Amino acid sequence: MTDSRTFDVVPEASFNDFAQLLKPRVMSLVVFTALVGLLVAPVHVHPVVAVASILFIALGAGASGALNMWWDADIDAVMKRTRNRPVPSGKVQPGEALGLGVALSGIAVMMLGLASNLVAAGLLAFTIVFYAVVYSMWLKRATPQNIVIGGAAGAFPPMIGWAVATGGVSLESLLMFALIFMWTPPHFWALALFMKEDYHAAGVPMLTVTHGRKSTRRHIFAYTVLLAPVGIAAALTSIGGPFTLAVSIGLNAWFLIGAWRILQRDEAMAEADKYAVEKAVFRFSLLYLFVHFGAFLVEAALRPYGFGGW
Amino acid sequence: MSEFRPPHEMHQRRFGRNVGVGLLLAALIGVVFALTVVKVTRGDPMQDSSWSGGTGRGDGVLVVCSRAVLSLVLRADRIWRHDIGG
Repeated sequence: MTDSRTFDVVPEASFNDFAQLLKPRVMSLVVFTALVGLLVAPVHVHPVVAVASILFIALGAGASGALNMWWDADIDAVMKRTRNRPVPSGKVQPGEALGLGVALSGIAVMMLGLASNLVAAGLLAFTIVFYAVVYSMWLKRATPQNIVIGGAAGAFPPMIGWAVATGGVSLESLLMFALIFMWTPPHFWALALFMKEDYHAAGVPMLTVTHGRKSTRRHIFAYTVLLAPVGIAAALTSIGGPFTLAVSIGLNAWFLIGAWRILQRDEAMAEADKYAVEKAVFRFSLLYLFVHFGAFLVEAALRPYGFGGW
Repeated sequence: MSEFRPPHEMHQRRFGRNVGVGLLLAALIGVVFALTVVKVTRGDPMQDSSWSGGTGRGDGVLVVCSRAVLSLVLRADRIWRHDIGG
């Protein structure tokens, strides 16, 4: 007897494969920064509305991740780090990723609009379009500044959180946006220096490939210099205070020292100690963002007790 | 009289996935219900007043969306019964 069920050899997508399409690690950063944006805003939000809004912001971020994985499946299939993602590995069909991304985008934007307000929903919709269309489809393969522009998509969540509470945009939320926007390039370029992905084969014009590693080191330092005033300016607004200012000065000084050390090294020195400095700066950059936003949160938590704030 | 049939192979294969989707839908219902309770008890509009010019007409958005989801579910159920359920 012949068995016609040869399609069984095609790997069946599990629930987890679909969850991986939403880039859970990116979502965790989105949840944290959006929550900070929401909690430091001067308007009280009902806890249920706050939790629901954060959930829908995270869902929107996940949806844009699924759209990115649908569009970038050809790139992901080439690079070692991304080869096992659900679409290039064949577990999830490209059409399924596209469908999930579009459906979740619609649900997330509509539900955020119903849960909070149209400004927040509009910002979320803009973020999804920006990440999926402007970054993934257009600029990622067109310019070595792709990381800089892509960083804008990751920088929107605290602005959306702030808009959930206040229904608008302000200097504080713009500075929180700018903080992540300026932080993203040195963070990713530090990673690009030691990960040595095959961007060239994938057709992605990464700065390390197009302009070389020396230029990437200069770019890391330049963006870290530009990041410092943004962090300090944010600490001087209503979401900051003496505590945040002290934390910001410390973090930016340490980041600048790290970026300076990266600038002073060449590839021979980096190879000799297996990119120890680059790896250390990359790890610190993660801490930088977490602690900086954590400081805003601490400041907001201290305020009702007469501490914190200016 | 109906008799119990062994579960379809596809249902066994996709059991985990279906349970996951079911739990997510249940969670979504929970979130929407909690939001409704909060908004109704506080007397909030169901959405920003700019949707309806503050007339309350925009409250229909929730109703329309609920009806759309319900009709999709009913249609999917009919298709499923026809194609798989037999």
